[in-house]
Amino acid sequence: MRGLQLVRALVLGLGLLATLTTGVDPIQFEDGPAPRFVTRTGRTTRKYLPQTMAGGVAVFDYNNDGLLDIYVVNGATMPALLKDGAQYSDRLFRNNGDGTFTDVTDTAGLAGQGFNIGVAIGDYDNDGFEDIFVAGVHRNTLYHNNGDGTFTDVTERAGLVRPDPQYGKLWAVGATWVDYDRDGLLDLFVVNYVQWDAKTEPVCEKGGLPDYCYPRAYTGVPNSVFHNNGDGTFTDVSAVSGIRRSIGKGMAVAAADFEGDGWPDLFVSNDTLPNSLFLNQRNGTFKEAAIEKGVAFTENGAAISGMGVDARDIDNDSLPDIFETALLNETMPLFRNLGQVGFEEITFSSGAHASLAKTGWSNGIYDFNNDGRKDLFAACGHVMDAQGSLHATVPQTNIIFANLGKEQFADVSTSAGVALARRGVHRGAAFGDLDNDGRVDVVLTELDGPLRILRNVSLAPNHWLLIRTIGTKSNRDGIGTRIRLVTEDSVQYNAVSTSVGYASSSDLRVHFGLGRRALVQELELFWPSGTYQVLKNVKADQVLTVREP
Amino acid sequence: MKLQLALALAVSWLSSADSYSQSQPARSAQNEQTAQEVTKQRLLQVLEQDPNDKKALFEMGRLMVEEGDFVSAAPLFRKYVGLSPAEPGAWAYLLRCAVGQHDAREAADAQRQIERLAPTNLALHAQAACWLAGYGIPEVTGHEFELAMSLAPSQTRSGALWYSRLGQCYESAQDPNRAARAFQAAIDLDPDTETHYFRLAHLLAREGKAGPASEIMASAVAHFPRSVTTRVEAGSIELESGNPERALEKQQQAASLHPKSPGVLLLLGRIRLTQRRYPEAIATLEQAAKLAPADAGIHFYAGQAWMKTEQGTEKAIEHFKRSLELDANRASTYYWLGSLYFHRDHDYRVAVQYLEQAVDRAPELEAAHQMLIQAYKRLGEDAKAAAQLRRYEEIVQQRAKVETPE
Repeated sequence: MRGLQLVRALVLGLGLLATLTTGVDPIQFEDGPAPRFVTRTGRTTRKYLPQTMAGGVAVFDYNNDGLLDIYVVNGATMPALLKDGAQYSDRLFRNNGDGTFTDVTDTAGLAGQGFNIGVAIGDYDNDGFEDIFVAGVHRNTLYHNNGDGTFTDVTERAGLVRPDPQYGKLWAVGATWVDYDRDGLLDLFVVNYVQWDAKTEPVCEKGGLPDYCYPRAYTGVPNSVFHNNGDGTFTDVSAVSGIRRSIGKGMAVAAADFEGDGWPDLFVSNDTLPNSLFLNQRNGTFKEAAIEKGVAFTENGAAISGMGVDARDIDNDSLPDIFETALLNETMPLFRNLGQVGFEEITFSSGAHASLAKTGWSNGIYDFNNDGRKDLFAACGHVMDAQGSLHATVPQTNIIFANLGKEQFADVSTSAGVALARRGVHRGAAFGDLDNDGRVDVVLTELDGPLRILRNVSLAPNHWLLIRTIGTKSNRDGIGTRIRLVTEDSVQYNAVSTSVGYASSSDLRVHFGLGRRALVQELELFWPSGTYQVLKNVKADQVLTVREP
Repeated sequence: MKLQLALALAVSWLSSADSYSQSQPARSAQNEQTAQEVTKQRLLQVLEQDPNDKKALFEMGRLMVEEGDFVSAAPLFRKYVGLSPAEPGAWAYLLRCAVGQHDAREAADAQRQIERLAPTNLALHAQAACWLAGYGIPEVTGHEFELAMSLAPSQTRSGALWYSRLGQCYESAQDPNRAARAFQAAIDLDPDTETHYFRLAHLLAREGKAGPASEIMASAVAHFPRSVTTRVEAGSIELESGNPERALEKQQQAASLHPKSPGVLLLLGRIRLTQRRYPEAIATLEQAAKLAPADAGIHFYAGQAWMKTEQGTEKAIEHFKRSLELDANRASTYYWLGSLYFHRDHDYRVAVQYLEQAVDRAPELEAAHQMLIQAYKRLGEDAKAAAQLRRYEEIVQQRAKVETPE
């Protein structure tokens, strides 16, 4: 016990030291009590690619009690892709509001089927209850939230069982809900990875032992887009929207208004292929423009092993920037949005290149110390199997970069608490304020490891604001709403989105750290419908619900 | 005449094949162009006097094909085969014109004629299959490729060169399966030439097939146990497959045969580069450069190593420029020079000069297009950025056409 106290004291000391050396308020996390859950990959001697890809997690308020609940998807037996036991069940954990969670999976009807990878949350039918889309290997599932604690699998009825005409059943790893045509209904963009079949799985090895094959051994596939018809059904518009033309090995998607024209665009990170940037043409179609805008490749010309992605404004110039994770030795690229010119990669010039030593998966751009500057978090763990000579190197510690301002970041992982010193084969990460204390927490998954909750216990006496948007003309979640916040000494930008990182879905509420300012002078909301709304003199330190006028 | 034409075709093709494996000093393009113009004038005069002069028709058509002017060349060859329909060499050039103009019907017709007139002529069929590679005429391409491959069992050792060339064509056309089959045929016909193994192994490694690539190199090492080059290539293959430790094993084996070989040092430098041990990589590659100052590859990697260090930009630029002096055709050298000027110095004007060279030489180098477009934009040259983007999009469309079966 004394040892633990000593470690805590040491970490606190390191945190203070970090404050002195970096000049930023310390970021501190600790492992909080988490529901009992293990992400099962269906481990086998022979390695199947989906096994290293599992781990999606979502934080969302399924029962509208104001508390974020946790939903985790799970693997299955391999190569059968069957959930043949409770250990493979997807799980929904209700937040009891006292730091504990209750497993409500069976009541909710969310145990799931097949080998699931990712999850995306959104209220697609605007009924005020969050629905769930699960991305999986050859099987996706749409659960409608019935509003009484139960969900119904409506995948088939919704028209989402649609094998690709050329590639057959697709393997989806993630998705985002986005109202791309601004008709007030959330559409669905599904990220598909590679063509895969257990029967033709190539055999590869590392260090003399069977291991996962490099993505080059698999054929890329297109992503899918489903237009919401408003009657509970969707139309596959992958081809007519222009999305299907781009073949990739999609890993994650970020929806954001990169051009600042009021229309949501999409950035897709691809594994070993150039990234895709789909610019919204405002007529139901997209133009792929990653090369044109300078985000297809990193500055050293590499098509990296793109993993997770988040797009938010790190320098508060009103344009969303891009933070992408990738493989060891590739860095985790940070693309700064310059507007019309395109993007410039600032990974090295910003100091974020310390990510070279890690393989990142799910990631997020959040202000963890509430100082008014958004920081970077990446869940880390190597792709390969943790066996043989790799046993010691596959589990990795997670990484946090504190935003120092002026496009500079400092790796503060080692001073952010013992929880950050713990290694794991991390995959999913969902971000949200689980205890409504104004500090953004992180829920993490590990392959064949326990679910973790990193409680944000950063000590700085900074203020904050959480904004829950409720659309009336826009989609009810308000997804896509851009928010400008003004305090006495700063202007900040953010937007409503649940699609964050890899395979994961984060808090719908938009978080702002306010530093020492307890009053927001002006809060402007640019709703997807085109409605403009401004609130004046908003008090800090509250969860503010804003209804579209 | 028939034999002569087929021979000329084969010689011209094989001489171009050599340039794949050897870095040639840049020829004086201007002199070449002038000589070509003189020849064209002379041929025009001949054709004015006798529009049916077969030799002039053929030569003129060939020059047009070399210039990529298939529209002008096609009528000349059509006329030629009208006069002399039994000459497969002329049909082959007509096929080339059809391919260049994406005329699937004429390509199919020319292919049938070649097959009818010279069913067992490997030179012609390998050439035709090569020309068809990656041009989006899948049925004709498939048929011609299989025809060329079917001739392998009846070939002697010298036939290996054709299959090696065929493999390179399909590798360039991003058709690795056909390329691998052609390279394997080259090995089967001529197991005593190291480069055939190297080509197949590199292809497999690039396709992520590390195991089969290693196996190919293991058989090469067994066949050439005293060859330093083979050991170095085996190490290189391991490096490409993402196994620096195994690459180091091969490098050490090579070093035991010839420790001061520049190739051995180059491999070690590349391994250290992969391992991000940059000071060691620099020291090794500088040593290699001293031993082989005229090796463009060594300077290229030395530039790469220096580029990774904070203060190494000037040295990197020096090495890359030296590499270009020795091999003006390596697109990636232009790319890295452009990248250095773009990112380190923000000298977009100079960056553009190098990046333009990179995309000219390797239009498939997508990263160079991205940077070039960005450089134009930073210079405020939006029209050029837009033009470059259009050029890139044309390349993508062309590739999509090739990859999508009709």
